[in-house]
Amino acid sequence: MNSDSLSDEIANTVKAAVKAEADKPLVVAVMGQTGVGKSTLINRLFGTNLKTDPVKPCTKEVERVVVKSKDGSELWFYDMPGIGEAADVDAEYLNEYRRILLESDIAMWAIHADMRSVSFDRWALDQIIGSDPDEGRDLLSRITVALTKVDHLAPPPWLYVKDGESGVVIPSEVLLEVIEAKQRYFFESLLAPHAEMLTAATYNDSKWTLQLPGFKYTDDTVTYLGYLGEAEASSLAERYPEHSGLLRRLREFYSVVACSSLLRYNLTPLMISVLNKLGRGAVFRFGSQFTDDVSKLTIAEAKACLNIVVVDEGTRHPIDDMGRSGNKRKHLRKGDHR
Amino acid sequence: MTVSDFSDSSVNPDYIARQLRLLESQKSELEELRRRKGWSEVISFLWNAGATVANFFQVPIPQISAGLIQSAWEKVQQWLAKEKLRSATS
Repeated sequence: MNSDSLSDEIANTVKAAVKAEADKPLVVAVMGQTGVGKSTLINRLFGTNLKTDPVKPCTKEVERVVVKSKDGSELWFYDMPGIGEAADVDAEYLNEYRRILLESDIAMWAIHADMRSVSFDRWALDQIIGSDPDEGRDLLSRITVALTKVDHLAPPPWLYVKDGESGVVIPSEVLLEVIEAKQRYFFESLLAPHAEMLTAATYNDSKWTLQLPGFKYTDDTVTYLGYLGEAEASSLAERYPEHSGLLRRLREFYSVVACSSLLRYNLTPLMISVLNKLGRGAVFRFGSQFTDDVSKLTIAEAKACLNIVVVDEGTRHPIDDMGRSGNKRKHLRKGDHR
Repeated sequence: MTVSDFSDSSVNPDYIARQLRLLESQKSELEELRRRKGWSEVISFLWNAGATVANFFQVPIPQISAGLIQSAWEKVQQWLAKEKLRSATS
């Protein structure tokens, strides 16, 4: 036995293991109440073409939709029935949700951003997590909470920053404050009650070796047991500025992500959250389904949306108002609108 | 419609610049996360494969670490590049 044949043996074993992982389907499940835009969100994130209906609920039972990408890899999307339509079927659906959640690589909990009451989602999430702390921890570690349809929030407008034939959409300053407040509210209502079950992890790019309560580390990864709140993260970042990026990533690990499928807003942070929570080997399956430009919106698509002000990327000044041609914009600066 | 159709105070260029920088940093972070997660997965596969092979050939683990893992890693990298999986691990 020589060292070359041994390294070939190792290399071949690894190649086979990676290929086996990459050839498996990427399994995605999105949970949430009827009409929150679950199918639309998947269409935007993974370039699929799942059926959507703006009026009637499309999904009445769990349906596995198999989508083949150009390279032959498969994405399995569990199209979940929306909950909250009828109490007697919700319990049955929640059991099904739990089972599928355990089988999925990616699990998202979608909530309509304009929803004021969180009690139903909190009840449903509590039911799914169950009373076993270990299982609850495992289930929570898979879920990304997404606030969908933030384009429904007032006040508009949105800003379309044009770059060539496409661009990106960002909220006005006033709207961003509303969105951030929503994210905090839903985090506090849904996830904070389970803070002791959360575990955030990120890559150790700043050579973390600090022995601090709640933190564990290796050369590759830093883990925080619990939820790293904003005040604690800021205080640590002040004391250890070399780790500020790492601390921010740990703090954002369980953040609620507000997004808009229509405007393709915040889909990159949503992808980051999803990727953070991928289980072992799934990164190779994710890679083959990955869409590079999730936040890009063509001019034609932007024109279909109301209340968008177009801003030139170079000058950063408005050049068009698609929603209200002829009207002058007012009250867009932070603090002007109250 | 031109810029003059809007109030000069309607859009804050500094705010837009900050948001665009944030978008760029998010894209970079997504790429970095993909790369590092892929890389750590391959390392984990390498380590497990090394342990499997060590067991199969009944050699002590230290003998198959370092140089052999490095050599196997390079072969895996070449294969990943050929298979276009490299973006997740390069």
